[in-house]
Amino acid sequence: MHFIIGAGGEKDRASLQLYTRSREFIPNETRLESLPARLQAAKDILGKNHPRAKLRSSTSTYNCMGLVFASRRTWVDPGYIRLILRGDEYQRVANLFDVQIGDIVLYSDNNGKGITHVGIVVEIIPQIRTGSFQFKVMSKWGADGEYIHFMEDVPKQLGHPCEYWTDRR
Amino acid sequence: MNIKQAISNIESHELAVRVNIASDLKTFFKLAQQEEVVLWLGRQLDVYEIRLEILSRIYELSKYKIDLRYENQWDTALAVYLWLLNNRDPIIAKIAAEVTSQIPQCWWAVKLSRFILFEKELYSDTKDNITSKVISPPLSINLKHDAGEVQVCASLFSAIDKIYPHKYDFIIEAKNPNDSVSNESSYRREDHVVGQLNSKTNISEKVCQL
Repeated sequence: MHFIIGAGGEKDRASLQLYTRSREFIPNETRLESLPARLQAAKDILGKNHPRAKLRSSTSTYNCMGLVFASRRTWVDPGYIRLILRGDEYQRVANLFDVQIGDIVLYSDNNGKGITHVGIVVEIIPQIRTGSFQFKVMSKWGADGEYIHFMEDVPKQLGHPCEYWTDRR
Repeated sequence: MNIKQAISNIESHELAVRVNIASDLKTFFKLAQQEEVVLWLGRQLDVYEIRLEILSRIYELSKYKIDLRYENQWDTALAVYLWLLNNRDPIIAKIAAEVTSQIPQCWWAVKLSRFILFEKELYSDTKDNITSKVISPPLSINLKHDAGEVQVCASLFSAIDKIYPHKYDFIIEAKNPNDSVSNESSYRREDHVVGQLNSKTNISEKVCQL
């Protein structure tokens, strides 16, 4: 039996050297690719349940946090989201109407108490009839695919949008 | 539903897809709990023999050949079995975790094994100065019984003793894979094992049979 103490930590050679702007290490682990048959099953199942979501890439080597904060290179536990937001000096956007392309959306299945998912806003579509906006988000759904989707159109297990953050200055 | 069907469902790509929406272990098990087949199997684990059957299945999966280019295709199933066993019978779960910890190319199963064996997540906290090092138990034991051969850590011997009281013949093979471990530590563990077996048994002879 061999276990790495501090797997994903700064001294684990299998993790990437990933830091916030304030030089705090972001624990991360690289994950292997899933079997092609598994990825195909994911395409089929998620595509059927979310027909309006557009699959951008099918891979399991990074997760939603890895997409947003690590250039799709690694897997970062969502538990480190506060460390990153603080370390990278993100600011909270209180009003949904102030959200712009490039801002990030946090999802929770428990009213914001535990963050389960994160995505980047990639399109804002004005809704003339209702005087509102629809937001499109790019995010990675767990281990099984990167999608461009309407903000609320995620697997129910990932919860609902609960917070918006920006790095705009 | 019967056990075979449940095992087949839990090891399917479909269940793996639904559960692998998770990005962290906590969410992973939250999603697993939403699967009817997982709940069903969890209820069946009240029966001791079924717990052993699942342990055997874990062992069986550990022997399957895998494609080294990809993640282990039974990773999700292994993690689910381990989690269910841990909920029902932490002692058997520790033995199962010893097995899953050695299965290559796993993701969730390894994380849960760490949790079960060390009783905490070994995710690093960069501030507490834990160095990245590989640890191995100073003594490991091959336990052979009807369900196959399971390699377990010496410290778990008392647990095994409770699970298989006089039920099987044991063949204990003890070895010290890590020379850097001090003899004092090794001997203490050996004493513990010997105490469980027979005070005159000499573990250093490599093999002893009850």
